[in-house]
Amino acid sequence: MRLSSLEYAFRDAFRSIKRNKVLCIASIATVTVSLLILGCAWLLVLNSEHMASAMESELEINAYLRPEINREDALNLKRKFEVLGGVAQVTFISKEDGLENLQKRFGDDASILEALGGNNPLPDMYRFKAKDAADVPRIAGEVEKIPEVENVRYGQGVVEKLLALTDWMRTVGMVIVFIIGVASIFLIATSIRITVFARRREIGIMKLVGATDWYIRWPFFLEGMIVGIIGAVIAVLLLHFFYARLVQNVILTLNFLPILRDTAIIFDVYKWLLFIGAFLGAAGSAISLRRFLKV
Amino acid sequence: MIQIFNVSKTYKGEVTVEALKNVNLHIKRGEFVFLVGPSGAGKSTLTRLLIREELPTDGQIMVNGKSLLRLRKREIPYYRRKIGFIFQDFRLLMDRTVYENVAFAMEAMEFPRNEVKERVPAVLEMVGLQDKIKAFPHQLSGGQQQRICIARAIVNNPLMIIADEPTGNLDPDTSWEVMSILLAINKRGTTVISATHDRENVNRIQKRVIALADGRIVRDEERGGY
Repeated sequence: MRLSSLEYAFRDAFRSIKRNKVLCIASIATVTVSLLILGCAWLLVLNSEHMASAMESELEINAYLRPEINREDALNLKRKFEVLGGVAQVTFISKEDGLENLQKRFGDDASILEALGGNNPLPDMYRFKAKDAADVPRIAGEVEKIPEVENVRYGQGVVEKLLALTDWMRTVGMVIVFIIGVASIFLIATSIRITVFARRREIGIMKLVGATDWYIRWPFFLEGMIVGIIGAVIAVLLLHFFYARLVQNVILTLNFLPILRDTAIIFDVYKWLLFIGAFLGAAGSAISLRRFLKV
Repeated sequence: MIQIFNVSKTYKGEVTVEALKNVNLHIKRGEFVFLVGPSGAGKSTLTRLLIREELPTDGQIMVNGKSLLRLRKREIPYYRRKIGFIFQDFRLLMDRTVYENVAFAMEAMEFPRNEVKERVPAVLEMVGLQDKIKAFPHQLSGGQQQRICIARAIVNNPLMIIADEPTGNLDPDTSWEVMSILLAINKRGTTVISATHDRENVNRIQKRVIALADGRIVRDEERGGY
């Protein structure tokens, strides 16, 4: 295909978009809505995955020792713990350290020890870091079997729940996007069909004077793709604007929440949305051309 | 240039129609040929076969040494670029100017933009429409509209012009105008094949006349009348 022919194709595509304004706007709007939903779902999933991994890396097991264990026995336990499989780090925290930590958290205004009547109720404890989050329940189980350990605490199920929620959001998002995506393909197909119908006389003459099939098809394909891309661009702009606001608000008010701010990943999402928009448009055109343009 | 061997065309449907029966015909380069005969004699079928809109049921058609039957589907557009068409109903785009109608065809044949700009005014001048370049077809007379079609047909310097009743919708004076343009094009070496009912002009021009009746050639005269 010659460059000038591509130029003609673009000119014809824009001409028919102008002529077919209302339906094109409707098509653009459905593409925008479907990609907006897809984008929101996508960012949500990415964020909860990000959150899950952030939590995973902080995942710790606390093992509290029986109060009757003396300090020497307690310190000797460390060797026992270190040989457990999958453990990255073992730290002993004595009851005194524990109290100090607690005091730090409450600030210097009040003495906790005084409030507790001079008795430190905290037990000695060990803190474990696992190499892999999946190992946490197993390690916790093994630690619990050791007789000196009174009980074991870890973020039971939180990560699992978060990941399950992510999966669920992904599925629901996919279903919604699929339905709206199909709707937008068919709306584009309808608008292309109308263009084909409006241009059937031109198409007939083009065939007679010797236009190739692809010369005839290109403007319709471009029309669909332009509609799809415009819809995607609007969706991306909206998404970018709102996500930037969201990030800002989270940083200001909920700073502990690990929101995704890696622009490379986010722009990757945008890039895909644009690509999907173009694909929706091309697919709509293809359906129409197969059914209504017998070249 | 055109050789038609034992060509038959049968349309099967509720009623089977034998539009052409065992037609043999040779047309040399540069000839001017009238196809005459009553409606339904097979003139239009013959033109449709020549532009490769349809294939014959039987027989062989050679154009410029190439078989139309063996022409691949993707070769058809390039074959058609060697032919100019003129129709009774003009087949113009009413929402485009005279210039745009001719340019449209050149664009469809994938000519680059500068060639289109150069060539379109030149052909419009050739058919005497240089003053109507920006007019829309409905602002023009039938004869002028047909001249747009002629301009469109010759813009590509085709080997042959196939005209299907080019004067069918025109009054006698205008018909003569259109015919004389076709004659002028023929003088420059282009083969012209024209199906027509225009008795007056056929008699006046005295070129080769092929008469069809009921799907057969009944007469083929070198300097014939209607």
